Amino acid sequence: MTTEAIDDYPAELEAEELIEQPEYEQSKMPWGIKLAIAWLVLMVIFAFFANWLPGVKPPNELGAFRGLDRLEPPSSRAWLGTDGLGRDILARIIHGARISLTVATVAVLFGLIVGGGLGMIAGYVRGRTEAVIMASVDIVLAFPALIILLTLVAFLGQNLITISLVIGALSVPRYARVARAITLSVAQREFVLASGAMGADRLRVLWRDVMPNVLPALSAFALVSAGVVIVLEGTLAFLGLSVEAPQATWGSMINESRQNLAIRLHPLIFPSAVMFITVLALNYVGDYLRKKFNVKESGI
Amino acid sequence: MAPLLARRLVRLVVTLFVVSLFSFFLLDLLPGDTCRSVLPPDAQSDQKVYDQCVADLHLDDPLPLRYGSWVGSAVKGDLGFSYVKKVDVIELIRDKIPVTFELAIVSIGMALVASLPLGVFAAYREGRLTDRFVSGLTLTFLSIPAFVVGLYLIVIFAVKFGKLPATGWTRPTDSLLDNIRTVILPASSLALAEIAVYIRLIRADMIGTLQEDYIFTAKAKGISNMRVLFRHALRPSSLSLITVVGLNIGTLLGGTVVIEQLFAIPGLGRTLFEAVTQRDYLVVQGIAVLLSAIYVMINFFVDLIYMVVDPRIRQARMMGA
Repeated sequence: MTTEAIDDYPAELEAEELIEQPEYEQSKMPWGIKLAIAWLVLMVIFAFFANWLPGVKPPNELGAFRGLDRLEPPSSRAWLGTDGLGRDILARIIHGARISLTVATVAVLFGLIVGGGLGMIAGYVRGRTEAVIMASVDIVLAFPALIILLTLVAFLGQNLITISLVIGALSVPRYARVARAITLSVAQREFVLASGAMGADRLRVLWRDVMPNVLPALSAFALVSAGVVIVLEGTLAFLGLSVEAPQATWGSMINESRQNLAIRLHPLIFPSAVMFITVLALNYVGDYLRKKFNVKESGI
Repeated sequence: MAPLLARRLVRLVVTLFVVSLFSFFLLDLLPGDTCRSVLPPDAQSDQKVYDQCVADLHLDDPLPLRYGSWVGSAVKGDLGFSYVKKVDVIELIRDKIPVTFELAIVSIGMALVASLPLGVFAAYREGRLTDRFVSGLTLTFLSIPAFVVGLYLIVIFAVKFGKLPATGWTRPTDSLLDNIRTVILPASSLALAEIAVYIRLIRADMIGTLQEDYIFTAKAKGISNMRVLFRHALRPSSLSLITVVGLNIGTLLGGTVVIEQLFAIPGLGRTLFEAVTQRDYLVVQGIAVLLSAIYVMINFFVDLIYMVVDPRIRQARMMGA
């Protein structure tokens, strides 16, 4: 590839447009944000303790062990009722949180480390390195994500690690672009310049001065993209291409609810509501942080 | 203009090359003997079929030659042979393309019609109750996966009221009315997330535009608010809207896979899904390369339109270049 092709990346223009210096003002957190964080913490607790919670730990999620019937409406015996096979919906939602959060964590960490790293290098080192990184990133961005995800799942086989890593890899370009935009402004601040002037090598400046200042703003984007990951995994699970049954995932529960839509709606409503609230909470907190750190949306 | 166009063309060619490389190497991701994986189990013992497969895929050729012959035939529309369905891949997908195309176009249209007034009013009432309500709405829409929207639409309109068909597809050539009835629910399911994206873009764009001098002038001349908003202020935003619609087609194409599956629509997405579950690798490869190439081309043309239509961009980029 000729360098000419990639030189037209409007670096300076974007840097000024995208980022203003963050203002760390102490403002009161709205109650909605607190509520969203509380919900996310609850999901994390669910994911961690699914195998130990009473009534939830295997084999209790199979309602037959507790004398539950098929498609039971919510009651004191099964708080959210049972599904078409007589399994406790609440217990399965809690187990599903495990899958959703695992995929989200692995994919986001992968995107954050690889994409964030590439973006910071591009934004700090500049020059030819930046041109090459950003041009490759643009090419990966030119692929339709879900199509590639489906294709790779078909060819590589369906398991949790493959799915998480493929989703993570597909998100790398977006992290790179956001990280680069933030880095461009951070790199011009006095303490970073001073650090370089005092003779610290570039790797040290990148690690000690740039990274800690890029990470908070980048984490806002990571939260929003965790929501996207959960939806993607849910979509795969809905298509039956995520982890194999009978392992509960939110998407597969929603898929299984289709068989009984004409009789009972609660097997559809509860898992989809939990998925919706989780993604909404991630978007809401992410949006809040983004505004707080002044990352403009066009950068994403 | 010309050097910029040349660079865009180079980028297009490079991207298409990477797309083709990626799709080509998919088959090599399969473990072990490629033809053992590609052929369905019942055909594997047949030595003649096996030899044919090796010949079709040029497996005995060196890699560059293999790639060359694959690209050569793909460009000519020959995407290989589905050993599961026993037809050419192109035969399998040819009549599915217009179905997915219609679904995508209708959902983009719906999303634009819904998002334009909402985005404009949110910008006009920035920070007020209307704006906060619309922003809350976009966050909500962004948080509901398309397949969940689709399921709830089926429950409400098909199961409860019985007004619209839950599944199936009527071609517009058979009955236009039935075609519209079958396209409404799936297209709406796809449109919801798009609406959110477009509203956010229009709002952010318009807030900037509304502070421009020429808007102030228009207002001072006594032109009505509606006219200023929709005739004067919206026009520059339409360009960024084109770009985002183009970029969003990637998400949309992915969305059609799950929506076509949910509503039993015989389009490209459903065919891709079926091929994935049946391990019909050549069909997966064919659809993936087709959709990716279409997506890349669309964004190239969106870029072109953008450059041609907006003189500011044309000049700014030229000076920067």
